[in-house]
Amino acid sequence: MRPDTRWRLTDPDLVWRAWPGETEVVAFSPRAGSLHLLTSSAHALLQELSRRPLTTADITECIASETAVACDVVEEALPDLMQVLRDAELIQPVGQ
Amino acid sequence: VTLTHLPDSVARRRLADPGLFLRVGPLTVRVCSTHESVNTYLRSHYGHFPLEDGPDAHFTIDLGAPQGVRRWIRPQVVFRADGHVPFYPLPASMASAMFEWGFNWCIARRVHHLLVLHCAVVSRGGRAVLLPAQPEAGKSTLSAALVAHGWEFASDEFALVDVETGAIHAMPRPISLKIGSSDIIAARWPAAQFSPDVFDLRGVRIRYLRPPIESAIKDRRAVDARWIAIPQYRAGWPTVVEPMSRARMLAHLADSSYNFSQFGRRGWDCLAAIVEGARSFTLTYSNIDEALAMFDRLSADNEDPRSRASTAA
Repeated sequence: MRPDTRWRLTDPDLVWRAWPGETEVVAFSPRAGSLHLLTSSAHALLQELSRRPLTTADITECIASETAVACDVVEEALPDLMQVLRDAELIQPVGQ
Repeated sequence: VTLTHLPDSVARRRLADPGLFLRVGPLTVRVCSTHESVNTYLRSHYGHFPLEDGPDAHFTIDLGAPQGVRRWIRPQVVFRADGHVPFYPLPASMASAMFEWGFNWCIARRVHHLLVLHCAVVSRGGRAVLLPAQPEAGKSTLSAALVAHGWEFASDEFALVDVETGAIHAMPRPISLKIGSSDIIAARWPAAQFSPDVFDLRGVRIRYLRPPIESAIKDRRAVDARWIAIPQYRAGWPTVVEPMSRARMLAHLADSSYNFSQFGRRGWDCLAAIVEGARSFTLTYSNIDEALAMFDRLSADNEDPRSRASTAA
């Protein structure tokens, strides 16, 4: 995964629900008609991407600052998370 | 008018042509058949459901005889849904079971105006429990036991949701029980009425429990879902109730739906509202009395689950 690749939501109309005291969040893509159960990290990532497309480096920085986790830890976990979200067709590189 | 109001000869004639227009929950189904066993089954298990005049119905189920020698030699029954034949014929002795299986198939495949959830529904004091379980989880046995225990029956297989209003409609059809389960229910509910035994396609002997008469009469009333429980019978296990996140239950309910994706955002908002208005949990049990006691405690609890609103984006 190239750090300068810019990512965006596959469905800009993606919506989600979160309830107080719950760590899981559920998202729905009206375009695909699909529903996804997300971790709080995945939710944070999608929320950032819903504002604007971001590079992998930007995403790392955003998640690190929001979750107070060190950048290198986020950097290590991010490829797997991004791959899961990409496989679920929730995110895609800009231009695709 | 219900089927029990019609003389047997009239019912038989109407069943053959033009068919009986049965109102079951929010659906009208036209049933046509010349099989005497279908007439007998409908009279015993659907006898108190309202009959409509027709000609409009949400779908037509026709249980007829096949062409050729199977009409007479080892006779068979052919299931037609709106004229199509989706299944191979079965022995005529399975006609009433084929009606129920075909009815399930029609609801799952042909109901497009309502969100179809695969779940049992029972209620007490106007507050309902949805039981969206996987097959073989003991959902039917549990819902029948709850009804035998004084809960009101609303549905064994499906809840049909109007996504515009959020109303959850009951489908109080007969409950399919394996022989062991029907024996358990018969012991708890001496007045329970069962169909004759029939073998399902796996060779398992089952019976259909007639829904309580009052459930057929009240079938147009929407239910207010206050609890959503995923039951799982496990022999030898203690009774364990575990809270489930609403997010996870919302995902589960969507998975339990046959047509969730066709409603888009409206279906999403509707299911989210149902989940938000209810407490979600899983129930693992082997002792049915303990499970019933747990549901009794639930019904005595007056907490309003809607006090914990979601954040949505």
